[in-house]
Parts: sequence; C-alpha cells; structure tokens
Amino acid sequence: MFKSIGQSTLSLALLTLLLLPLIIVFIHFRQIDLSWSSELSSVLLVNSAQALASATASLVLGAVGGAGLLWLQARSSRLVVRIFEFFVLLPNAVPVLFLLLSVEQFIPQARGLGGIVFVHVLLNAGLVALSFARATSEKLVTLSEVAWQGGAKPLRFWLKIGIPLLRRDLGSLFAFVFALSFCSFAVPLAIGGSRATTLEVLIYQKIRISADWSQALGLSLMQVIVIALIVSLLGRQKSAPRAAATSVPRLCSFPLGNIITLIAPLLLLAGLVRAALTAFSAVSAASAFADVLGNFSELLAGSVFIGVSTGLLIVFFLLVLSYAQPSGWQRKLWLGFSSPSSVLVGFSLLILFRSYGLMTYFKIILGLVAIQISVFYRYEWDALLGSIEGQVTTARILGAGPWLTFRRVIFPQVARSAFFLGGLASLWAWGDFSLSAVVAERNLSLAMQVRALMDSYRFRQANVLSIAMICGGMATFFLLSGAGYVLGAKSETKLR
Amino acid sequence: MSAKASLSIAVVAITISALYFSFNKLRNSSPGNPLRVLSYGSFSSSWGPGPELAEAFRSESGIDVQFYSAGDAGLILKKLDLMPADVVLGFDELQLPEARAARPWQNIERIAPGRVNARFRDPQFVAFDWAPLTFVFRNAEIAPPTSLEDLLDARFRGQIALEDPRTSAPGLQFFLWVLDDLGIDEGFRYFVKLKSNIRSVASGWTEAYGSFTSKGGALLVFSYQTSPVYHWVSEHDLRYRAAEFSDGHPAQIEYAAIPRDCVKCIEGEKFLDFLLSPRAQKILMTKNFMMPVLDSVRSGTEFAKLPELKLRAWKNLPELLAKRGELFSRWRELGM
Repeated sequence: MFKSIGQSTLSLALLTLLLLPLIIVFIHFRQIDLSWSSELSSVLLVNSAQALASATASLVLGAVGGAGLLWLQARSSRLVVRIFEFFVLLPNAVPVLFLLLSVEQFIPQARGLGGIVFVHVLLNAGLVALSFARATSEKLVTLSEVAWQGGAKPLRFWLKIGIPLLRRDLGSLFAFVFALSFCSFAVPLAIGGSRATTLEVLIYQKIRISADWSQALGLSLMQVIVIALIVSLLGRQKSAPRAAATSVPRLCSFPLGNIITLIAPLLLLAGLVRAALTAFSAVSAASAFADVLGNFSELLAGSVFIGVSTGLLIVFFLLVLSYAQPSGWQRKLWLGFSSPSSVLVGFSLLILFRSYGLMTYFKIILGLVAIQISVFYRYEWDALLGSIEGQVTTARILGAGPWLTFRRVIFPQVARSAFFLGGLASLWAWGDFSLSAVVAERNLSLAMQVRALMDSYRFRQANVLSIAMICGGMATFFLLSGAGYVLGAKSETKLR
Repeated sequence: MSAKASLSIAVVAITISALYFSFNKLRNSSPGNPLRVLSYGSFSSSWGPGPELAEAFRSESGIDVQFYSAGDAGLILKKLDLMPADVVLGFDELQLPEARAARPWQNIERIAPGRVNARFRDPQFVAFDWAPLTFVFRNAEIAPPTSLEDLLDARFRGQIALEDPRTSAPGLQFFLWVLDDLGIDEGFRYFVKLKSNIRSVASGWTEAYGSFTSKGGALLVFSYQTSPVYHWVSEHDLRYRAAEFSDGHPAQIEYAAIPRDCVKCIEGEKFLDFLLSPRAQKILMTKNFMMPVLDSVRSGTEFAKLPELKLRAWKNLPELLAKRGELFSRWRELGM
C-alpha cells in the first residue's frame, strides 16, 4: 500500500480521535483496574455465547431477508422498495425500549438468554438484510448472470461463488452484530434476567453504584480486547470488487425472505399503534399535551440539528478514513475497537468541554460520532475499502497522488455508502437519549423528551411524541441516503 | 431529488436550527448569574416541578434559578464534579453515605428549623419530598399482596415487574428490604421462591412501570405509594391502587443539599428554605407525584386519600450497604 506522510498523519489523527474518550477519562481518573474475578469470567462466558448466537442468527436470517429484498427490487418501483426499507429500518429508529415493550406484549415468553438473542435478531436482521442486498447487487450481478445462463442451481451458485465472494462482507456483518450484541445494555437488563449480565452493565454498575471509575475503565478496555480478538479471528479476507448495481442479480432472490425482515417492524408497529391509540383515546388531549408540547419547536429543531449534523459528520469522517486508508495495526484497531459506554463517552466530553448552551449540542454530536464511527467501520467501511484496494494500488503505481486517487477512484465508489451510513447515523442520533442525558443540562431533543416523559409516568404522551421522532429520523435518513445515491451515480457517470 | 437539493436541505436544516437556538438563548438569557440547581432529568422538564418552582421563587425573592439536569439520579454526584452547582436536589437516603464521603457540604441546620420532621433532616441534608415504596396494581385485575410472604402466592405467577437492584434505586430498596427483613441467607432463599412470580426484572423504574402500564404486561409493579395519584389526576383512571403491607414499607426520601464550594450560598439557603414552604411543597407534590415533607399540604388533595402506610425501620442497613458488591454477585447467580 502506497501511503503519503499526509495520509499516515491523518490516519493516526483519526485513531487518536477514536481513542480520545478513553484517554480523557484515563487522564482524569489516573487509575485503571484490570483485576480478574469469577464474576468477570462468568459474565464473559455468558456474554460471548449470547453475542455469538445473536450474530449467527442475525446473519443467517438477515441474508435470507436480503434475498427477499432483492426479489422485491426486481419487481417493484423504487418508491415501493424505499417504503419497504423504511419498515425494515424501523426497529433501529426508535429507542429499544419501545421494541422491548412490544415484545413483552405479544411474545412474553421471550426471556432469558434465548429472549436476548431473539430481540437482538429483531433489531439487527433488517439492517443485515439491507447491507447484504446492497453487497450482493454490487458484487454478484455479472457472475450470477453467467451462472444463470450456464444453468447453475441457486444453492450451488451460493456455495461456489456467492459466499466465497461475499466472505469479507459477511465477516464484517458478523463482527458488527457480534460487537453490538456483546456491548448490549438495555436488552439483557430488560429480559435477560440477572445472570445475563454484559460487560456494559458491569461498567454502568461500577460507575453508578460503586463510583469505581478505575474498574469501569478496566472493563472498557477488556471489552475492546475481546472484540479485537473476535475480529482478528475473522482475519482479513480478500474482497471482491464492487460495481454500480445496474440490475438485480439472478439466483439471489427469495420472496419469502421478506417475511423475516417484516417481523420486527410489524411487531414494533403493532405495539406502538396499540399504545398510541390508547394514548389518543385516554389522554384528554389539550391538558395532557400542553406542558409536553410547550417547547416542541425547540426540541424538534434540536433533533434536526443533532440528527443531520451527526449524519454529515459521519459522512465526513468516513470519507477522510477512505482517504487516509488505515492499514496494518491501525486497521485492526479500527476493526476491533468498540466504543466505551455512553456514560464514559459523555463524561469524557464533560471533562473536555465545561461550557453549556450551544456547546452542548456539539458535545452530543461529537459523542454520537465517537460512539458510531467504529461501528460503521466494522459494519461496511472496511469491506468497502478492501474491495477497492487493488484499484487504489494500481492508481498509485501509475503515478496518481493520494488526492487524485481519492477524487477519481475512491470517492465515486464510496460516496453512496458513506451517505447511507451517514443516514443511519442520523437515524440513531434522532433516537439517542442515553448519551444526551449525560452530556446535556436539560432536554434538548425529542428523544430526551420522550425518555423524560416515560421517567415521570407519561408513557402515553411519550408514545405520541415518539411518532414525530420516528418520522423525523426517517426523513433525515432518506434525505442523506438519497443524496448519496444521486452523488454516487453522478460521480460514476463522470468517470465513464 | 438531486444530491445538491438533498444536501442543501440538510445544510439549511442545520442553519435554521442553529439560528433558532441562538435566538432562543438570547431571548431566555437572564441578567446576572442565576442560582445553579442540579437535579435529575424529569425534575427540570417542562411538566416537572422545576420551572414552576423557579418562577415562584423568583416572584418571592427576585432571584433567578437555572435548573441543570444530571440525567439519571444515580449520576448526580459524578456530574457535580464537572457541573458545579449551588444547590443539589435528588439524593435518596441510600446515596447519602456516598454523598457525605464524596465532598464537603454546607451545614444547613439553620434552614427552616422545626418546620420539618427530624427524620427528614440531618445537619447537611434536608428532605424535600418522599414516598413509601410498595407494589402498585389495578383494581379488579388481581388481589393485592399484603406481605412479603404473600408475594410468593401462586396468584402472582409471572405477574410481578421488579427493578434490578444493581441499576435502579427502587430495585435496590426492594432488594435491601427483603435482606434486611429476612436476613441475608433467608432473603436469598426468598428470592429463589419468588422467581416464578416475577415477570421481568427491569433495568430501571421506567422500564418496569412501562411493563405494568402496557397491555398484556405485568399486573404488579414495585413503585411508589403515590404512583396511583398520577393516574387518578391525569388520566382519571381510578383503578390504580397501592398495596398495603402489614409489616411496613421502606420509603424513598429525596434530599437537597448545598455543596461547600457553592458560589451563591446565601441564595442557595434561601432556595432550600423556600422548598420547605407550603407553596413549594404543593408544587413538588402535584408535579413530582411524591409526598410533601409538610403534612399539612396534603389536606384537600388526592394525596390525602392515600392510606397512611406503616413505615419500617432498617435493622442492618450499614452492614448491607457495606456488603453490596458481594450481595449483587449472589443476586446475579440467582438468574432472576
């Protein structure tokens, strides 16, 4: 890999930014406790088994769901596909509490370790399906056409061609869901029972109950190490080159796959609609909503600002990453790093910036970016950069500088994904209340208001307000991912 | 829509929001430095007691109050290190030992002497509201429990929503209640027997109460005796009731204090004095849905309809708190 001094410096700077929350908290508290205990062993064991099962099930079901999405893409207009994608992403757009309440209403048996895996699959299978469908469209179009004309059966095509070519994408998706499930907080606590503790819960416990920051830091570090180990086990597979998806690949679609991706959003919607109907009918509208909606415009503006800025900043950092091209140990660190818990990130920002007011919004945005950027790198970015690595090397051998290579080779191929991930980041930012609650001095967004309403009995008002939050989050997601789609297509056209 | 248009919309959205905040900040900024009060999130929300208390205090004393949210009540102490305040509201009695150890506090004995029951104050901390903890249920859905022993009855099978003691203040209260009442070993045997009656052990009060209020959810939740009043007043739903245990209940008492490094210490004392006035107590009661520390304030309100619950005294609280880590490990092993 040819890298200029500028690229190497940038790469190092980005890595420092990634590690900054941990560094700040460490400098502030100056202690780190890495002592081992029997409790830690059992937490690691149960947690790893849970994450492994969640990642495997999400990957398998997500792939089937992705095949369903490809079937739909081949037969429906873009609008229908977009609406379908909206539903698939719905579980990611709302605080996880809403999904948990829906699960409890309709599937109360979902408890214990099995329950956690079930909810993690509900949360992640749709996202995996979307990513799987995109990778398949971009990498298997030509080969599937050839295989189809040669009379290959779908199973044989997948075993011989599909899976080997998508190995790195599948590995990234597995690592992505594994890390999310391993660091899961709300789900294990809500339905897992006391034994299904995760490291994240232990960290929270150490901070909140025993105020033991040194142990919290030690546990955070352990979390990073475990995920890094898993990711390194996956190794670096060669990735197939991507191409613009001009048509839906043959032999890759499976109509019944759509049932899988629709289960979670339908479950969530059923719970939300049921709750909202009760809310509208039971709450005497004017009086119950007067206090809540008093500062609605400010909260809405806050959500828009946080959502859009987080999305755009993620796009920016992903593009800078694709310019800097982290490699070797830096790449491994990016892949293996799991951001510390939102409480730790929040406190690191409070330590760094003591002022309030407008600055608080920037702290929330920075914190969300710090939490999400490594997730997105693992989710898709690494596989994407790997797929164009050969082209980048060729361009550099032919004498192109890093900037020209970025502009003419990298950007056209990554813009679409960058904006898609930026859209996802903004969707999650709309629903964030945990980091915001640590950083902010008052409620600044709809998600914070929804949480505060639930904290004070007002579940019905929270349900109604969450509808506005979902719509806003989805609008921002489609705005950014739409921009990426058009931008990517234009850049590719220019190249041709 | 073109990429340029999409990005333009995004940039315009950011600009408009930023201008909105700047304008709002200018409009809301008060002259001089206000009294800084740190509390938990829902306290300072628009429907919480914070804004009305600030307005009432300003009208009485001319002093501006700025509420700051610490988010979760459990993070107040940690946030105080980074967010200096003149007054802190929201510690419960289980947090007091930690608060005392963490930093020095002003002596506030001279504030409102004799106005508040002695059990609600010590030299550095004074309670501003409280509520007994018990199980809340809906009439006609289930016969309420009358004791810890009764909670083991088969009619509660899979119907109880509890909070995790490791992450929730009410959860910790229930956990310590059982261990204090029955002893540590017998208490854990009790939890094993209770397991089949538990529907969920949630991370916090919000999740547990959400399970209780959602259709098809739990029929019994560990909450405050005052919780039904919210449903009576705001939803006109009179089915909500609080269970009465013959052996008594623990109580959650919320305390206020002034950090020794306060800047507006005199104003802080005035604010605490105001908090213990009938006017402020009424605001706290009706907005926070907790009992006032001045009994007289309850008369003529829905809170007066709540039965007087017998309160239990802790037998071994310091010992239990000291062994917290070990007890939590045993709790985890229960697999609740």
